[in-house]
Amino acid sequence: MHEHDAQDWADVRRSQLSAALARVAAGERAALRELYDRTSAKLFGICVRICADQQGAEDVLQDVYITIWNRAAGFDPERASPITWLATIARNRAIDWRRARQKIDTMLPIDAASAVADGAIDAADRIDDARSTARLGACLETLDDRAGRAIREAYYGGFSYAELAARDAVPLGTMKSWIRRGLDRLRKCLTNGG
Amino acid sequence: MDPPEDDPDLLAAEFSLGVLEGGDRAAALRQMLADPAFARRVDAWRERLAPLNDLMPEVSPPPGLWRSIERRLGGGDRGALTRWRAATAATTALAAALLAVIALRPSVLVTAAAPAPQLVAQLGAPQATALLAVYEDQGGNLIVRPAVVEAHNRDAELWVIPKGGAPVSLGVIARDRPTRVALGAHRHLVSRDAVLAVTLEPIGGSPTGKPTGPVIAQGAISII
Repeated sequence: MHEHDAQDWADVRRSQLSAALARVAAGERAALRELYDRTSAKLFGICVRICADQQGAEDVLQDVYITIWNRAAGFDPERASPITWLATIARNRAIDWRRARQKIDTMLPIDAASAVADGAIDAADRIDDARSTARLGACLETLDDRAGRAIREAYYGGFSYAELAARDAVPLGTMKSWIRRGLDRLRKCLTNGG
Repeated sequence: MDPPEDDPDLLAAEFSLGVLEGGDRAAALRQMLADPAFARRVDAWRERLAPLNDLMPEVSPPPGLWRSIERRLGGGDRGALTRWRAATAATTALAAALLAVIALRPSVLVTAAAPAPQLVAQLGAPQATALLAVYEDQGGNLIVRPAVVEAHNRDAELWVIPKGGAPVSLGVIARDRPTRVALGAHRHLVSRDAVLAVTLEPIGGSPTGKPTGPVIAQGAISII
């Protein structure tokens, strides 16, 4: 698939999701079902990854779609892309669930996060917007190894500073410094066009 | 070298990444609600980091999960709105979307001036967003859009409940169309710490000045 085809496809998907969200906001149950069919595998993937618990992820996914039903009127297509808005709800719900449980012993081993990140890069057919993904990936590569890994782990696992510091056995201040420097560098890389 | 401690854009990045917790996370959330510029930074960071979502493997949820969601939603579409739409022949998705947009961004459409921060409350019944309230800075009005307000021989009355205070009536609102409520002297009560609520009252509103009927919707105020 050519890059511009992928981009067109992403645009089509975006407007379809926005339209479905507008209908959900108007109270249309069928639109929520359509949204579920289109997005549940993606959102469940996020929940499973962050909750690291099948039953917990199922409960959270239910909450996610109830939240979407209740808050769809607050979605503003000029502020966010629909899939990012939906994924943010899934991420935040899953993080809330995890923090509420605070069961450190069920966490995946430290290598799991990087394994997911590296292995999934082959799955290019799932990537909606190849350019921004590649660009973020390239910018993450320019970071200090520890910062890049910590940022990926934080995102994939939903970990807090304190959890990340404990997993890497470094002081909290060190972890904060790695991540903040990494985010600063990431911002410069992304805004300078690569 | 470490970036400066007080860089709001980095705070937005940390918040979007999800590494903040406890008081820091709550403070960032408050800032997001109070400060539209900060909220835009958060939106921008969410978009920047969103490509990472594409690298998480998709997982199909178990087949029964949609049923569980449906059960929790209760029956059918959001009732009153559907009936209202049928009554006004506004049956297309486009018309419905338009309604939502007008309700959400009144000052943009009404004044064409730069939008001021808008206080909003989504007043949720247990199962659904029942009402959406939007604050119009110019004129100090609150626009309330009903979605599920159904009751016979009763009026819906809007209340503001200041933090730690008693409910103050903002008047009776229409059940079948958006109502513009002039806040007047109550303007200062409609702030971020307050709660908006709707109760069912006798026709004409509560006779006592206090809520007497059931609460059909309530929600905290936030800024979009």
